Amino acid sequence: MESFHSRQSSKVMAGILAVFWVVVLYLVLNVTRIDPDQQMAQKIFYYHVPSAWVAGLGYLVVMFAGVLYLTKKDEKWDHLGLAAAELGTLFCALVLITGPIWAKPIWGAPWSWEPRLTTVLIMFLIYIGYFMVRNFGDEGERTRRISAVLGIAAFFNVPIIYVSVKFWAADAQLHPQPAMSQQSPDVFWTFMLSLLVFTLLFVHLLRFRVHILKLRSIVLGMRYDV
Amino acid sequence: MMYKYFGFFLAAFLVISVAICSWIYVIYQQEKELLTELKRLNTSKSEVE
Amino acid sequence: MLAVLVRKDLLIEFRSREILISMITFGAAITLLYAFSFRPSPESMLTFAPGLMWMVFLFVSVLALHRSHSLEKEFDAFSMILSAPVERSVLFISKYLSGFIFLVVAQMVLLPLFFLFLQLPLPANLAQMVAVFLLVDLGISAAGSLLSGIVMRVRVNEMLLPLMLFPMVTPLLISAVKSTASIMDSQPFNQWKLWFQLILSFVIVFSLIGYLIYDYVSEE
Repeated sequence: MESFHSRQSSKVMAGILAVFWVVVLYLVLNVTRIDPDQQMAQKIFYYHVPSAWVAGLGYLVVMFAGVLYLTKKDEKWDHLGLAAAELGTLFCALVLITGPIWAKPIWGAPWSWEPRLTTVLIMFLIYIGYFMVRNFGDEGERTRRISAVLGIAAFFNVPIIYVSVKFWAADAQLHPQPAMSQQSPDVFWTFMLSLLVFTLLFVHLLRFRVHILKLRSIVLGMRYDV
Repeated sequence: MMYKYFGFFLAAFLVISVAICSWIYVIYQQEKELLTELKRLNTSKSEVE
Repeated sequence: MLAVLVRKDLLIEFRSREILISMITFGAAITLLYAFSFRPSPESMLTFAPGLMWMVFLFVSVLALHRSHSLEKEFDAFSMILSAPVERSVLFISKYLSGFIFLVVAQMVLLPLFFLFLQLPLPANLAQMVAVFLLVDLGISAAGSLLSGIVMRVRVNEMLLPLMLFPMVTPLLISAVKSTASIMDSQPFNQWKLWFQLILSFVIVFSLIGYLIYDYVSEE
């Protein structure tokens, strides 16, 4: 097997992502309008929301990969699930860090028990448990199976968590809920581009990680042979 | 001209960029190690044969 | 078959009494600590009591839920059960029910203690209280039995179970605390209907997931 980035298509994708990462930064800094109250802090939104979207996407993939692994028993679905869980949790952490950075100047306090924040935090904790099961379980079929089950159970819990947290702190609904279609074109298209770049980054990193996990299982298999 | 809260934006942007880059660095290193080991295993396998 | 399996769990417990005794002692100890750590006025106690109460029951439930599967590892009993002609989903329900029964029995002792130690007035509508408690216990044992089966063969599973269980049951805990508070405050059912529905949906979702998926968890 060769390295992931020795493939032409992966190289091109990595290049495109690097260029567009800079393009988005340029658009965010120089093109989009300045919010009169929040000023630069508002622009964190172009990174915060796509991160949250990617985290949710990651957990969705974990769920589907779990279902496919349980029905097909093919190791590649387990690789996909693990890779998506790692990425989902990475972006979940980024949401949890950038949220308070924005909230500190705007709300005056970095943390508030606001429904979306709380839901993301709970999901983050559940997935920490997921990785503990992965790490403490042995390198075998059973660990893969129970991780798949966990990924599915965690995913179906999300709506219940969200509703319960929402009504638990009904007085703390501070989270902005902007309607994107009513935004001016500069804001709208910059946001859409950022969303696209994050999604493609997610797909690229996911494929990279799956490639490495496949490599790893080949190496592990050969260690026993030699 | 500088707008208010530029530091907060910069902090958020840097956290995201650095986190993603370190993540890529870590798995890239892992890939390199695995490829070296794969090569080693392949040679020792052919020696056995 | 279900009855046999539940009876087996209860019989083991009846002979050793290890689960219930540790649950009740542990619960009483926490309640005592609560009474010592906060000595607030009775009114402010009323605000915190539902939350504190459910924390006790959640901590206590971990003991029963962990034991329900770790017990089966002794003499490799689980493999024997799996080799018996029993459907795995029935096995899940048996664990679910026995966990529920242990939790209810422990609560029957701990709840009066809790009210006594913290000098709380009894709620006016006991029937509602009982209904909510039974439903929440169902929810805790549904999610808990599934997770306990999941971590059963993982190292340090006694640590992993609460780590997995507590975030998973947060919606249930929130709803339980909110509805208990409303009942103790003698609010009409309409005011806290939402929390009741949330408890109900949690119970349904986790019972269904457990029933459908336990097969994959229990497989060797």
